[in-house]
Amino acid sequence: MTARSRRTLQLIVTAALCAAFGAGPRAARAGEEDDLQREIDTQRVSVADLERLDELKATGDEITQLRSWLDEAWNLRSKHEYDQVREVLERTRKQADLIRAKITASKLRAQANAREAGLADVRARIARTQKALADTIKKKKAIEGAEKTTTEKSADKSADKSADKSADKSADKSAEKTGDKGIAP
Amino acid sequence: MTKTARRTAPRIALALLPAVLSIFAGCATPPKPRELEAYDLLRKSANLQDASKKSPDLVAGAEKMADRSREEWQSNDLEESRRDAIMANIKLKTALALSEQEQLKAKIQTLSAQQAKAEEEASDLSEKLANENEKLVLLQKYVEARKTAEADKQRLSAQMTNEQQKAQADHERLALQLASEQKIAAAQLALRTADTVDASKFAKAEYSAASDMLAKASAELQQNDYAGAQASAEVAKKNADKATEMAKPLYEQAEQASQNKARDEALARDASAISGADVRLERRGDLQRLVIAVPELFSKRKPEIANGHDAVIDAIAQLIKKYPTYPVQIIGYTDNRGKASELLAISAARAQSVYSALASKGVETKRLMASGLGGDDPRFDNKTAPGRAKNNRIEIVFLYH
Repeated sequence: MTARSRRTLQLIVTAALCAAFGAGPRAARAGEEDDLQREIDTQRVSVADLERLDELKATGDEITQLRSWLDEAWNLRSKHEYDQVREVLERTRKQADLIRAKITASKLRAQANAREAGLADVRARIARTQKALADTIKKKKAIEGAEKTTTEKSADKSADKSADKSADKSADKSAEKTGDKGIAP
Repeated sequence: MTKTARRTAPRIALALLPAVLSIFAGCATPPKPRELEAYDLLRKSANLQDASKKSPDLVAGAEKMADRSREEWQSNDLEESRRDAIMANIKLKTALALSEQEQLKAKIQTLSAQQAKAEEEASDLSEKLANENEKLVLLQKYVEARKTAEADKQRLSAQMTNEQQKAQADHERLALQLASEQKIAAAQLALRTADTVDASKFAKAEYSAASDMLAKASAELQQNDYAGAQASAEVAKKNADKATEMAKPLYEQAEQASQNKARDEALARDASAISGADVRLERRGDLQRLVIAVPELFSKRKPEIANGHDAVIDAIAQLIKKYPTYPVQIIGYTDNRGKASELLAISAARAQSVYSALASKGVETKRLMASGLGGDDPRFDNKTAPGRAKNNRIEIVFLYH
C-alpha cells in the first residue's frame, strides 16, 4: 500500500467514522419524532372512534379540547419540543380516558333514565290498571246489586203469585167441597 | 429645598408611582390559574368521597397534581401550574365519572329490580283486571241473558194469554156453535119425529112453521148468528113438538086403522086358508065380523066333536092365538028339525065342546065366548039334507071395529 493509498484509506475511515457519529443522534431524533407522530395519529384516530362512541353527544367539549391538545402536540412536535409533546400526549391519553368514562357514564345515565322512564311507565300503567280494576269492580258491584234487587223482586212476585195460586186452589177446593164450582174465567 | 425642587418633587413621585406599583405587583402572588380554580370547584362535588373510594389512585394523583400546581402558582410558574391543574382536573373528572358510573350502575340495578317488581305487580294487576273484566263480561252476558229471558217470558206470557183468550173465544164460539147445532139437531129430530106421525099431513100449519124456522136457524148458523140460530131452532122445535102433539092422535088413529085393516085382511087370508071352513065378512053396526063356519063337525044330534076334525080345531086354535087382540065368539047352530029348546041346548053344548077343545089347545079362555043359537040364522036350505047338514055348524066369529 502506498502512502497515498493509506492517506486515502485514512480519509475514508475518518469520513465514515465522522458520518457514523454525526448521523446517530439525528437518526435517534427522527425515530422519536416518528413515534410521537404515530402516537398523535393514533390518538386522532381514536378521537374519531370516541366521537362515534359518543352517541349521546355528552363529551362534545372534552373532545374539542382533546383535538386542540392534539393539534398543540402536533405543533410542538413540529418545533421538536418532544418533551412537551410527550407531556401533552400524556394529557390527551388521560383526556381520552376521561371521555371514555364520561361516555360510559352518559350511556349508563341514559340507560338509567330509560329505566326510570320505563319504571314510570309501568307505574303509570299500574295506576291506570288499578283505576280500571277499581272501575270494573265498582261496575260489577253495581250490576250485582241491581241484579240482586231484581232477583229479590222476582222472588217476591213469584211468592205472591204462588200465594195467590194457593189461595185460588184453596178457594176452588172449598167450592168443590161445598158443591159450588163457580164459573171458570 | 429650592422652590423648583419643591415643584418637581411631586411630579417625579407621580412619575415613579407606576414603576413602584409594578415592582410591588411583581413581588405579589400572581392570579390563580383558571384551571386550578376549576379544580377547586370540582373538589366541592358531592361525589368526591365516593370517587375517592372508587378510584383512590386517580383522586390521589389528582390531588398531588393540584398541590404541585398550587406550588407552581405560588412560585409564579403559571404555565406549569396551569398544565398540572389541567391534569388534576382530568384525573379528578375521570374519577368522578367512574364514580358516577358506579352509582349509575347501582341505580340501574335498583331501577331494574323496581321495574321487574313493578312489571310483576302490573302483570298481577292486569291478570286481576282481565279476570274482573271476564267476570264483568260474564255478568253482563248473564244480565243480558236474564233480561232476554225475562222479555221472552213476558212475550210468551202475553202470547199465551192472547192464545188463551183466543182459545177461550174460540171455545165460547164453538160452544155457541155447538149449542146452536144441538138445538138445530133437536129441532130436526123433533121435525123427524113429527114426520113419523105425518105431521105435514095432520098438523100442516105447525109443521110448515117448524120447517121454515129450522131453515132460518140453519141459515143463521151459516152466518154465525148463533143466538139467532138458537132462538129460531127453539121455535122450530116447539112448532115441531106441537105439530107432533097435534098429529100424533090423528096419525095413530090412521095408523091403527091401517094396522087393523091389514090385520083384519091377514086374518081373513089366514082364515080362508083353513080347509073345511067357510069364511065370510059381515058388518053389524060398528062391528065387523069375520065368520069362520065349520059344518059337519058333529054327528047327528050329538054335542061332542066327531073324530077326524082335529086338524080344523088345531088350525082354528092357531089362528086365534096368532091374532090375540080379537075377541072370539063360538056360536053353535043346528038345522030346524026338532024342538027349538032342544036345538038351542044342542047348539050351546056343541059351542061349549069347541070352546073346551080350543082351551085344550092353549087358547086363552077369557077371549072366548061360547053360545048356541039353535036353528036360527040358517045359512042353507033346511029342506034338503045337504042344506041341513051345512046348517049344523059351528061359527068362529072374530069381532073387530
